[in-house]
Amino acid sequence: MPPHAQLRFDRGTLCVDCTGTRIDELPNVLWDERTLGYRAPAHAGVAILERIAALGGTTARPLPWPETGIDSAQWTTPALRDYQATALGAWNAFGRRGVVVLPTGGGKTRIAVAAIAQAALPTAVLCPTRVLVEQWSRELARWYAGPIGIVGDGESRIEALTVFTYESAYRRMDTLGDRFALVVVDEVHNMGGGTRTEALEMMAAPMRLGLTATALDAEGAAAARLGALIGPVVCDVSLDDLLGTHLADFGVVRVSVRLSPSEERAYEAAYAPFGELRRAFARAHPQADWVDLQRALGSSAAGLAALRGFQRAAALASLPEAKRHQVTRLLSEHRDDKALVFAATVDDAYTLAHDNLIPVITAETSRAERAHLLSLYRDGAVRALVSARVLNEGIDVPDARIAILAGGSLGVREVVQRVGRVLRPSPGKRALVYELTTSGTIDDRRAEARRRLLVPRCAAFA
Amino acid sequence: MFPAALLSLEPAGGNTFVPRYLRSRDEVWVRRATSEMTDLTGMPRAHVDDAWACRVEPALRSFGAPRIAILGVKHVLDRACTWRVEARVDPRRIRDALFPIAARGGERAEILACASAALGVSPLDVDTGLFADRAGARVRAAASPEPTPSEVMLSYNLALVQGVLLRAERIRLDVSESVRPVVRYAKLRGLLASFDAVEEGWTRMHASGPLSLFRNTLKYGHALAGFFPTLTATPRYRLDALCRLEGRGVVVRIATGDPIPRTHALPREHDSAVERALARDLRRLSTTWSLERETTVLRAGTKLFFPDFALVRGQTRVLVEVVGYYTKEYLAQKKLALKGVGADRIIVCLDDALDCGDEGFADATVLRFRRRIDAARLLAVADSMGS
Repeated sequence: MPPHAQLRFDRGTLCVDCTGTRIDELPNVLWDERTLGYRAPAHAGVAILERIAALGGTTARPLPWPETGIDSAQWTTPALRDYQATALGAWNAFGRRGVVVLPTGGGKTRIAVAAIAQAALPTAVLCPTRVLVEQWSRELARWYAGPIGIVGDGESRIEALTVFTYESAYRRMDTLGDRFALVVVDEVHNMGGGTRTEALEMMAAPMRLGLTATALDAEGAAAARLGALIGPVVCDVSLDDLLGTHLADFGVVRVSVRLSPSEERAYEAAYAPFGELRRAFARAHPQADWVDLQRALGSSAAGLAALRGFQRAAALASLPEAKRHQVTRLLSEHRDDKALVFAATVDDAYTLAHDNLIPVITAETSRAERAHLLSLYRDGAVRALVSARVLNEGIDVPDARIAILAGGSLGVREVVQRVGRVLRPSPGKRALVYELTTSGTIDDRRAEARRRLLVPRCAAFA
Repeated sequence: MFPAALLSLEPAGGNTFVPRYLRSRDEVWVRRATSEMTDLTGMPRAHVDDAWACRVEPALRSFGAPRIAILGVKHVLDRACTWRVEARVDPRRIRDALFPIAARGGERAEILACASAALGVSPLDVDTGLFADRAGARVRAAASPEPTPSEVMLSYNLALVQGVLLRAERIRLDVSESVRPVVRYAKLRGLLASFDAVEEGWTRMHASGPLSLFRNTLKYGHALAGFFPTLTATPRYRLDALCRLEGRGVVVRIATGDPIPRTHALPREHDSAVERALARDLRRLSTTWSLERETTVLRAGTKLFFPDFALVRGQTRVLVEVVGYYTKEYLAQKKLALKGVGADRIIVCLDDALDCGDEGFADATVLRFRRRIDAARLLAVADSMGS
């Protein structure tokens, strides 16, 4: 008798019933003593289905994901550039599973919209921030005439096409994980290997598309997990491939500042205990890395105090008086351009906003105010915005030309994302990126380390 | 519920820990902390935080208080009061007026003067009020009334335990009385629970969620933490929570007698919407059947089952089970349990939305429903079984 399976969605998992084959040989299926039944994580549904089909068997309808849903007549399919069409083709060729890597400004959203329109099935879009939820729902509304649901940022409206924050998806997919056939994960590198990936585990959707400007390290555990839950990288377009054609050219100007004498004394005092312990640790453990050092220091009161001193020193170096003056000078110099200022921390962002009387957007900014400020910025009523991390990714600011990187600690990915904010092309545009560093401090050393990694990726950083 | 950084535990042998509760030994420094915080009323939050770190914390450390406990107490005290915005004009209004003016250019003083004229306040009010609604700029308002040291300690202890449970992957719970409300509440929170009879008078519950079969997950931490206050209302319990703290699995033990406040009364009824609607409908119908919520516990070997309720008329008792995602193996165990107690009348109410086949329930009377169980049909089935 050929196998016959039945899959029922149960709180982020599938209850599996099967005749005609050994059920525990199906992929990811385990016996659950608590309910005395077989169970699989929801994301494994498609693999089970394929296995049953390979054995010549059938699976009972309905499946744990919708097979009909969106009326394709409600869609206007966007026109794609050649590299976007190639990316979509590659995703289709990989069975509609996989990650597309495209630089910021390269039109990842447009590829996703084309993929959703092509599938014409209920779709969940997962975004890391509330700002992006709003932006996605606005963008989808340009191409889709039906209602668009939002879950997150104080809303909970489920539609065939619904945009979630990662956090809301994590909380809700145990009840909604059978409602979508396609899941699009924006800024997929942010999901990494963390708990938020459980949202993808709890979804039965067989089609999965990840979008990112900076792919994860292929050797890492996080990339392996995303590979299992979304699929492999199916297309990788570099920044250099698009600069000067589909993205604006840009130049990098480095501005080095010095600490004032009083800041220097405070910096040295805060940094010295850490520096001493670090040198001793490095002598004793030459192979150890930063994580090992933190763990070792965290285990003693003196080590903890040294770590706190290090953090104070880093904070001081990330926004000394001289950097504040430089930001003011640059904003004044580029008064007629639209500028984005990026700070290392939320507090630094507010300091710069207060210094220069410019709007600030952080996680503390309410949704209504954020929308208002972005609309003022788009209309040109304000010409500069400052942020710490919220504006790093995704937010669509078509004609910003100046990026001032006043501080940051998240490494290469953060720099690439921030620079990407000013690369949306427009006729005759050449973007300018100012990188402010504090010489002789941690800030400077971090910038140098970033530069070494950035140059192979994009010549403009040389 | 405390964040991970505030969880303070003490070793209790092997891989087992107990929460480091605040007890009478801590009262002196908690009293001082409460009083210091009251003295900071009217100060901006950033100032309060600085004063706490530079002055209050060292003073409390001199009493021998652990740093993590001091931070936990501050967490409790911060939440016991309100933080108000202190500005002559709503900061949002200031920003709406100021930024477009500033974008036109000019000296800072001119910009502030221009905005202040538009808002009808002084330039200084504009400058100081610009971001006065930020968390760090808000001013501490007195709690009303200020919590007593013992209230602070109890709040701390509850937040500590709930913080631990928030990071629990699964729990093992032994309860000696009031088992039924605990069972009902666990079910309502969407936890997957199984029950065993252990030593005399004690029922053991293992609770987690479906996904925990495949991985160590903190997904059910919220449900487990939310479930805990119900437990404190039971006369005797002991709970082992398997938690993931700083990347490693540890067992945290909590039990009756721990200094945790009883914040909830034992819930009298905790049902799904379907069960609540059915109970209401049955009350409305004129019937000789009565609804009994505290049903017989069914036992198959050491496994225990808790039917949802029973319809009772004289000596006749029909058990009613509203079926979630159960399998034929589950029902077979339940039938065995029924036979074991000499009760063989059971109606299985099966939700059509679950798309369960009813072949597994061949020996039971199945009543299918969609959204709402038809009470009249249920009684008719019970009549036919009871006659």
